[in-house]
Amino acid sequence: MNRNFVLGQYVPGNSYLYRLDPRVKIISTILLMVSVFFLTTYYEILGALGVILLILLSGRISIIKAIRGLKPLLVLSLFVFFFQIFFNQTGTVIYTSELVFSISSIVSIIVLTFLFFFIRRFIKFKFILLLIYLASIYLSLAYLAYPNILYSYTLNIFDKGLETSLFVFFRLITVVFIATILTLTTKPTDLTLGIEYLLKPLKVFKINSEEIALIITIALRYIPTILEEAYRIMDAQASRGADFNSGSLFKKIKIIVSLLIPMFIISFERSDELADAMLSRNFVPGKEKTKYHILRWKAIDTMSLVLSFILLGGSICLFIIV
Amino acid sequence: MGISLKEVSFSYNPKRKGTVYALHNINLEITDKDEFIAIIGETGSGKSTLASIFNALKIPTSGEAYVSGIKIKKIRKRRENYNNIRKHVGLVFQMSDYQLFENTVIDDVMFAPLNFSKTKEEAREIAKHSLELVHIDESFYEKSPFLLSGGEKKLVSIAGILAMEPDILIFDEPTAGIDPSTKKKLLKLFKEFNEVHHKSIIIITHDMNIVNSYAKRVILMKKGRIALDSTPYELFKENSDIVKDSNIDLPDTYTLIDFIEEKTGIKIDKHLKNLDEIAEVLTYES
Repeated sequence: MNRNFVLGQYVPGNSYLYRLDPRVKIISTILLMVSVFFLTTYYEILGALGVILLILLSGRISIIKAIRGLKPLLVLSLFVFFFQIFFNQTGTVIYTSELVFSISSIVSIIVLTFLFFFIRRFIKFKFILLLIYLASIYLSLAYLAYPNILYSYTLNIFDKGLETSLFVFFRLITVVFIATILTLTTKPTDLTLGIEYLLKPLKVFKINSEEIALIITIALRYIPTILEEAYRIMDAQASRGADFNSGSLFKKIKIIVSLLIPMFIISFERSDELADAMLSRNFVPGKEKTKYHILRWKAIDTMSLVLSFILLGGSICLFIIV
Repeated sequence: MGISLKEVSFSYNPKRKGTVYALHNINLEITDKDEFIAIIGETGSGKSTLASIFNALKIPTSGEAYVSGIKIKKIRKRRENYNNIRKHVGLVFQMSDYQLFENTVIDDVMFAPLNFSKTKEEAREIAKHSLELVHIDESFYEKSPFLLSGGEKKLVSIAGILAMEPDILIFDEPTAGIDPSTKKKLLKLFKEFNEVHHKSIIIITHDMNIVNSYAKRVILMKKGRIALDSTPYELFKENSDIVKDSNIDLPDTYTLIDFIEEKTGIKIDKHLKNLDEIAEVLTYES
């Protein structure tokens, strides 16, 4: 199990993106995301990606860290990309190739799969390995036709298909980049503070935004603590011979139970204690509180809000004109 | 065979530059018979890390650690595990809540033997035996462990470790948060394990009275290094500079003996381990 879990992606830094008011950052993120969805062609999306990269560079955020934020979505975006290429059959054919299933190609696919899972353990660049794996599967399907052909499939790639797949792929990347800018430059606590302010109008519907923010803050605060506790419990069970890594599925489920029950019990105890501690310091739910961190609106906040509105307006204009 | 550490260092982030080592070049030999060792030191001095290396829960960053002849190194294969080490060295955690999870006390104690591929009947016999060792009687067997008091929970969790039949028993701050009567009971138990069953006992503690009256050997940890490895008498009597440096309180007997000597001039042997013995000497003197 991975023990180097890091919550959130916040990386300490010092640029204008860090100094922006969290409220502005949340609103701008939403505006930019919406404006990305108004774009209709792939070169507009590339333009938007360029703008986002400019924001990243001007905010002195390392691009490598931003790309790392894409990691969880890489497989999904690849899937979307290939799905569009294979199944969007409009426009003219730009590339065609015969995919052949024969005994030799099936054997080579099986061997490649074994190799892939074997090498995966020792290699750092798993994504590149995945690409090589997919490419070699394609090659073996295209060229290995020995001894006889069992089934053949003609792969046609259409220009519209390629266009839409590029479009969808880059749109996904752009949207994730926008979200990454927010999470890389904003502390989770600031984020909840911003959400608290933005949800204030919900008071009309008798929803208390302060309580929601408090719940989020407490949850965020306790994730590392509870994680630490989980590792302690795992150690305690491991020292009684519990094996979290191997064994049959049934055994594994039993072992997980030995982790979950103490965790639940400790968490409930802890939440009771926390509630008592808050009450003993005169916390009254729903009552107006003064704040230690006060958000201040600065000129740069107005500027960036105006800029994001301009970007949104621009993309709506493009949408209407084109 | 016991435990043998050679030049063992441990760091939580060995790859990071300027990382702090929780353990530094530790050399240590512990036999698996009749030892009663107290590991003391300030918070963050590496006591608990040392204990988890004894139990193969942490793997040394450098150096060699052998527990009952098995070298502790990184597991490469999925099927391997350290159960053969954990069979020899039982580690009782400070919080008994970390360990208890079954519906009944007896099931919880049976957890370890079942993991060491014993049959259900054998496991039950072993569990009964180890519950007897900690003086938990049969009326508790079918109770839920979560309804027990803190002290009883502690005893059950100790029974859970005893069920592995280890030669070396490690207790991480066994008396923290325990009421005085259970504390007495626990210490009596430790003595019994040590003297009757000839097990080696290692306790991590901040209580110098326990160190003085029970331990035969004391290991003082300081900033990840072993500052002193000797008998309690030597620690408290002769190395008073080290005692002052590490913010260790003197045990009650030492304070009392010094006080008596100052007030009355009666010299009392500091080897005496508890207050009753001092009282005896005093009545004899007067």
